[in-house]
Order: sequence, then C-alpha cells, then structure tokens
Amino acid sequence: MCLGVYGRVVEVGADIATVDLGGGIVKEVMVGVEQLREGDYVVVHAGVIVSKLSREEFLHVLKHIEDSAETLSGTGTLPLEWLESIRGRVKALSALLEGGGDQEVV
Amino acid sequence: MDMQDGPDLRSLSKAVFRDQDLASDIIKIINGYWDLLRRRGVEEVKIMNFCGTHEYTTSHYGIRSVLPSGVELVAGPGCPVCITPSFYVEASIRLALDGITLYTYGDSYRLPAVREVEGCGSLSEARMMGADVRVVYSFLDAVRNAREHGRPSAFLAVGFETTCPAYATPLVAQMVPPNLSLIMAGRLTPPAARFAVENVGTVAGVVAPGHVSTVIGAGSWQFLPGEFGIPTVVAGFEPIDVLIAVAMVLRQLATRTIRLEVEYSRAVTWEGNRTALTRLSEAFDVVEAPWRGIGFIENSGYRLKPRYSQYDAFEQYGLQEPTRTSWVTDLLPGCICGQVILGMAKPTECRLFMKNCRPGTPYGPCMVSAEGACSIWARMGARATITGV
Repeated sequence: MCLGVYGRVVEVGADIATVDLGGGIVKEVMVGVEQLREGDYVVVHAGVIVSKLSREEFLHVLKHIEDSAETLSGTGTLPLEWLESIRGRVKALSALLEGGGDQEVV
Repeated sequence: MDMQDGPDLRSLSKAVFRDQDLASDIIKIINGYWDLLRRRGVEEVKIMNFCGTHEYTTSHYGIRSVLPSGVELVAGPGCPVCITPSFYVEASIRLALDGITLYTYGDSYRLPAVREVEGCGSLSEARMMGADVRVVYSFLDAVRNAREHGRPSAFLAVGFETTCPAYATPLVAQMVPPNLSLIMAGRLTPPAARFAVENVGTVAGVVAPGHVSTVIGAGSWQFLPGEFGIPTVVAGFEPIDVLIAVAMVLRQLATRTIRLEVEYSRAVTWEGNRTALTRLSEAFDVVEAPWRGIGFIENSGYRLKPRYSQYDAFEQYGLQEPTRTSWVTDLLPGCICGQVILGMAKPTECRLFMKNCRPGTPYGPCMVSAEGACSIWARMGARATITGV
C-alpha cells in the first residue's frame, strides 16, 4: 500500500502540483514537501508528494556496492578479478547517472 | 550542472536498479559475507521486512531463490490493509447501508469483516446491496467528489505514515468539505516493528520500509540496532535495492558493526519530511490502537485531534472504537493471519492457503491486499523453501 510512484513535476501551485508520472499519465497531486520546483523528480503516494529524489544519492547507492565489495576483498573472500569487474560496472552505471554514459536507456 | 537537469531519473532508476549484471555482482557479495558468517558457525540469518512492497519485490523477482539457503527473508507487519481491525470495516458497512456515501481505496473495499452487517461481509458486498460505496485513488479525489454532491460522506482512512499525510494535508489546509468525515484507522509502523521483534525473537536483520521512512525519517529505526542489536537497512523497492540491503545486513553481521544504514538515500533523509510530520502532528494525536489479529499496541494509531472533531466519523455518527477490555481477536476460525503478519508463520504454513483462501475469494485479510503476504505468495507462486536449484 505504501507503493510510491516516481514522477516529474510539471507545474507547482500553492497546495497542488501537476506531476508527469510517465506513460502519458499526468495528475494533480498535493504538495507534501518543502521548496518544490518545476523539474524536480518526486515520489508520489496516494495523491501526495512525499519526497523529492536526489540524483546525487543514486550514485551513493552504487558506492555502497563498491565499498561492500572492497571490504569483502580485504578478507580474501572475493577474488580480485570480481572486485575489478564490480568496480568497472559501478563506474559505467555512475557515468550513466551523471549523464556522461553512452549506454542507451530504454 | 544542476544535478536535477540530467537524464530522466525514472528511466535511469529502472536501468540501474534492475541491471542483471549488477544483481549478479551483489549476489557474489552476499555469498562472500555469508561464507564469512558460516565459518563463524552461523547457520541461519532471518531478515524481516516491514513493507508489503518489499515482500512484493522479493517474491516477484524471485530474490529468495538467489540467496544462500541459510539467509531467510521474512515478511513482517507491512500491510496496512491486512492489519485494519474488522471493527472499522463493520462500522463503514453500517454507515454505507445507512445511506452515507462511503469512500475508500481498492484494497480496503474488498477487506472482509469478521461479523457481517445485515448480510454484508465487506464494502464491496454493501455496494452490491445498493449502498453508495466509491473506490478512489486518493483522499483528495474524495474531497473533490464529496464537495460536488454535498451529501453526508465518510472515508475509511487506512494506511501507515506514508499514507496519512494524504489525510492530514487537506485537513490542515481546510480543503475538506463539512459533509465529509474520516473513519480514521491510520497506524504507525515503528511500534509494530518493536512488537514484532520482541515477540518473534529470532530476527537477525531488518530491511526497513523506504517510503514510510521518507515521511518519518530513517532515524526512527535507530531503536532496532540501539536497543535490540539488530542490523537495520532502510531500503528502496527495486530488486537491486533489496539485494543491496541484504548484502548490507550480512556485512554488518560479518564485520560486527551493527548499526542503522540507509540504502534508499535517494528518497529518504535521516530526519524525514518536515512538512508531512508537521501536518501529521497538527491533525492527529498518537494513541494506543488495535491491529487485526494482534491486538493493542501502544502509540501505534492516529486519532483526529479534538479541533477536527467535525471531521471525525466516530464523533459524528456515535461509533464506539474498541478498547482493550472490549477487544476480541478479529480473525475467522482457522485463519493464522496474525502469525503471518508478525512473521511467525509463512503463508504456506496456513492450512487454508490456496484452499479456502485465494486471491479471488479471500478468507483472511492477508489474502486481500496486493501488499498482503498471502496474496503476494499466492500470485507469485512463492514457496517456503526452494529446492533443486
């Protein structure tokens, strides 16, 4: 029931904002966060914006994966070639998130 | 460059957090930490989630099938529809049959009552009997509709902290018309999580709910590592999110660094959503409240503040909420939803599962909602254990 849908803010009013939820669905929802701006990416739940998405933090999650792999490698449990492969993948996905990747996003 | 102006985060989210090669990498990491734990003599790690959407992701993407056999993911109290006491459904049916226009969400529309009201066992049955019951996407839709027609109306308001700002926001903004009142059944998750880990006793790790935490803040889960020594990771809802959360829990156990971590930091902050929290505290008092199949849990329910009594259906229509003394367990005979909700039993351990109780003809509350563990297991064909892989 706490399903949240990611959307992009199209228009901001006092209490109501218009959000593009993708797939041609545009809805008026209640503004539930501070300092909402047009173009912000948000989480919408039950007709309310409950959170703004942070692009920087997408990268942070990938860093978690790299850190976990490095810690594990330090114990000798993860082969070095696997660690290198994980580092490569995290780097490629990070570039994609930052807009510098050449991978096609479907 | 303004980071918000980069590529579309919605499609990127799917591209990154459903990346199969990345999933393979994380599974290698999970296996690595599990090897470390096994060398130390650990035979089983039970990780509990507190969100139906996590259970959905886990079952839908077959995550249990790719984890080491000793790592078990358990569904905890994460479905607000499942835990809504029968009393609120019965009261809603009564009002609907008395001519009040009754609004609710699709899940609670089908939620069965333990005691039928004039032959109606759910709001959907009341509608079949001619009552004016309307399914809406949000409270805002009900606000607009009730304002248009002007007739006495009530909203069966279920949900956790993620959903309750949807009630508080129009109330505080004075958008709710005087003919619309709330049958407030909103609940708070951390008190139920505390109840579950105290009663289940064998929870070694927790995947905490991401969207609830967008509102209440990740810091609300500090008591799990702090008081119970349980590694806790606030996680998102894509398959990669859940896999990372499992890896982070195992890493904490393996490196003996028990703490609260936030995997879903792209949407969750430590403090939560100040706007939503302020509105919640303006609109509601936090009170001891009943949970279906479980009973009363302290500080686990939202009740409208007296200043909003004109919108309180209990006040408006003289409904008496159950008390500890009047409370009787509200599960039908043979139903073990109370144990399923607390993670003490798996859906497949219920003798009624996929026999008397199916998604099309639910008997217990966990088979009704799309977020109910039984419904998810039934629809995804999940099994208690996976062998021969």
